[in-house]
Amino acid sequence: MMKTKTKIPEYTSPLIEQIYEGISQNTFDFVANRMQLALRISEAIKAKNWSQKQFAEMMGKRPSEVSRWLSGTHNFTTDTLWHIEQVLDIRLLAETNQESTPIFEADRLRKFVLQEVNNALEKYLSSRKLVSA
Amino acid sequence: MKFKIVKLSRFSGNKSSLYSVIIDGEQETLFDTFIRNNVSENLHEVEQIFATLNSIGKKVGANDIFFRKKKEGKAGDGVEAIYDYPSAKLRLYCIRYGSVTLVLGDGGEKKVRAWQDDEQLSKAANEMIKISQILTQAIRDGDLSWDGNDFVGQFEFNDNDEDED
Repeated sequence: MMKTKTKIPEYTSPLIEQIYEGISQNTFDFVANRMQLALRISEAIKAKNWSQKQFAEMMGKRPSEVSRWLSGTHNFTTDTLWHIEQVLDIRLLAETNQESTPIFEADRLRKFVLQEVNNALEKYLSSRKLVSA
Repeated sequence: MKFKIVKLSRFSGNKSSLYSVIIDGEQETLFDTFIRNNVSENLHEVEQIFATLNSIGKKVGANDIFFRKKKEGKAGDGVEAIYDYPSAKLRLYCIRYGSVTLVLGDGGEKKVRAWQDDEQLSKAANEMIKISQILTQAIRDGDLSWDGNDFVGQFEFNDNDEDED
């Protein structure tokens, strides 16, 4: 086999850049938050020297369900997170005794929905361009 | 099989470096091929995959919890798939070396339960199994190593001239 000792070349492509630029920051944050939460739970399991199977038994769940929890794709309920907190002795949920600000939240939600609609429209138009490219 | 590996600068970060493969004679990576073949029908899923890869590179690393190990190739062949949502249609194959290095390949749409029964998935998985064997051998031989941030050493491979050394 021929040996070539050179720095690994960096690469990107117009296709990668076009799709990456079309993704909203909300999507990046949403996925990152889920994965970080899964990682925190996984690290807490390891800190207790438990296997995923042992953790599943403590939670009264099947190991396959725990695998999905830890995959970073799961939408946890508050009840499940509370249960995980109790079993692993960690904090995952934010404090709930702060005063809510419903008007501010409604305004934020309205802006978020408008932004998402705009993003979806742009993505649709981009995908049409990609198909024809 | 002749190919070279390249670093995907868009996704790589301080948690993990992501790479893909350019097969000899092709202009783009296997990952580009995967995107091109699937983006028009599954744009949302492709975006989720982009966001997942971005997090792996910059936030969480290529931790084993984010990958499917079973049912993809034979045990020990080194090929895994990005863990997907229950309703997801796409499967992206990759080779992981610890939590700091991830080599992305091609994949396809899951139309059947077993990848061996689908022509496109089978082609993509077997291609990655072959690439994994070659890369693993290069690491064992010291031709390819890890300097803490990047692969260093050989990045072009041709398993047809193994005897030329």
